[in-house]
Amino acid sequence: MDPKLTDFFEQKRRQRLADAKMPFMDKLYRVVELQKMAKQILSSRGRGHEITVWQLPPRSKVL
Amino acid sequence: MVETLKILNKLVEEKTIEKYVIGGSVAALFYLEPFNTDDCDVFVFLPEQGSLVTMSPLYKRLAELGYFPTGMYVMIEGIKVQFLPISTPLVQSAFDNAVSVDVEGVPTKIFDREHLIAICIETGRPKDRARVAAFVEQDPLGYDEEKIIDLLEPIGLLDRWFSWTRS
Repeated sequence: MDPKLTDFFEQKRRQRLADAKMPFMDKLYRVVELQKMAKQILSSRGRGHEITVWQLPPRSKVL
Repeated sequence: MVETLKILNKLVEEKTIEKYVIGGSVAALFYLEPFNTDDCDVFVFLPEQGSLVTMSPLYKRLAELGYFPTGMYVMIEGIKVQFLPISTPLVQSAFDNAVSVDVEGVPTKIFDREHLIAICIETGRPKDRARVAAFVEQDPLGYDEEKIIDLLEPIGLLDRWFSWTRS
């Protein structure tokens, strides 16, 4: 495999390991971002109603 | 989520439910990188639960508190929750062996890694396979493989564990 590609996958793997160790609440905020992205994508196909975006308190109140 | 957990804990305190444990994707989020998910699976044991499992008292109390079901789900303080009965011996074991965690000072219980993995193996959907792969990659030192083998061997699912993790 191309060494640049190997480096890219290794970097991604390390990032996933680091993300797995994030505090749980930080992970939930990331989940909400992913839900928003999924809703946006599906909305363009008229299926946005299929995705529920969780409502979390504003970040500043949690930190 | 913190407010959601406070409501769930309140349901226990007032004995609407005897115990609850978070399973599924939200429990997996404690151990893995963030991933998209839709709902929070909450396994419940209701008081005086006989041979007929009914969630009616739970839904009645939730309605009194202002949380009404939509289909299979109830939105509780911004989180889409699905209440589930204990459906298999493996889920029962996960429920009985749940671990205590703390979310922003609010106590709760979640399935441990080994049971989450074993339940994925038992359920067997593509997304379950992806979750097992995530555990293997992101949490390789976190789970005890011997414990997983002990859970899967009696239910004849050891081959699936090896085929999903050794290929």
